[in-house]
Amino acid sequence: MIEIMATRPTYTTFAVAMSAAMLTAQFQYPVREDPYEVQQERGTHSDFMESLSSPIASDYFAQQVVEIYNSFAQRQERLGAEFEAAIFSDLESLYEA
Amino acid sequence: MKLPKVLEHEPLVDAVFEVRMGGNPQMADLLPGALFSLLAPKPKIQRLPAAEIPQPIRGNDPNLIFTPVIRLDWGEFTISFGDRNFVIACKLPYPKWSNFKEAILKIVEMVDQVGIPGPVERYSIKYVNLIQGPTLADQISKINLTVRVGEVDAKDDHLSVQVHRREGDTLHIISVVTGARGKLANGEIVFGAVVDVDSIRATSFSDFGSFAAKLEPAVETLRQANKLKFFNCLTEETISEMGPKYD
Repeated sequence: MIEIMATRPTYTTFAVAMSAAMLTAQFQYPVREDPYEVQQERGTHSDFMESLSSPIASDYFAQQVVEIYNSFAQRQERLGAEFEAAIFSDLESLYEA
Repeated sequence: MKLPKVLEHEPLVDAVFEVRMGGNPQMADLLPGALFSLLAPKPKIQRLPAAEIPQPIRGNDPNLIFTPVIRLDWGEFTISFGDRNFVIACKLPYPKWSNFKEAILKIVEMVDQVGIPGPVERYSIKYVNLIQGPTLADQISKINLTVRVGEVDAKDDHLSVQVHRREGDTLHIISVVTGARGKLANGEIVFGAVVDVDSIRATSFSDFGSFAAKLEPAVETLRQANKLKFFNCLTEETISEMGPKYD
């Protein structure tokens, strides 16, 4: 069982660990700090004004993120009975350092 | 100034009401399902592009923190939810303030029933209008506006102006942008200047219930203040062209 665990692709382990950490709120994204900022109140959200100020950028960015997720989703494949048995036989100790 | 009750030629392109809360109320997670069960007729649920961005990233970015991620399409209105805010917007043609106000109060009452935790930081009303004019000079001449920067007297130029005026507990953000191009519902292409009046009232309600209980008179005064600011932005000739109807 230990040998099987060691030969698993490391990116899968990392992805699982990161997802689990995010779910338990242990994963912290860095706080965004801009070197300069304007000290003004931000206005009410309006789709019309958003479309005037950034007609392409936000939708384009969101579309790119969707494509990344879709790419991951389409390339998923089952690990196989042997890998799954190894993972689920001792799930609790999987994330221990 | 006597304000028109209605305009025969409505220049409105967007009318919204927004509530922003403090803490971590997780509104986009809690409210769409709850309101879906309470609203009649049943709204359509739409997932918006910002929902694809992970919540921790949205929460850390001031440009994304109040961007809606889920929308309910409900009759003459849409209700959009961010992590800490919700926005009620009118579809066009504008259903008039009495109907809009009724929808605001109804939806706020429903949100109150859900029991969202956390303080209400602010609520706001924003009306965006497109004052039509074929040229920049025509657009600027229709607005009660004088802009001079150095030796440049802006009378036939592209300009974007935003003024933040605080009056008591209300902040009015008045924006004028010339050179806008829009497509009307009937497919007609129009040119004009955008006049956007955003009236934001800061609050100190520790919970949503207290806010909801006092909203009815407060939202009316906010709307009237917003309306006054808008009509003060226009010349008398511009108001006359819109076909005003008074009481």
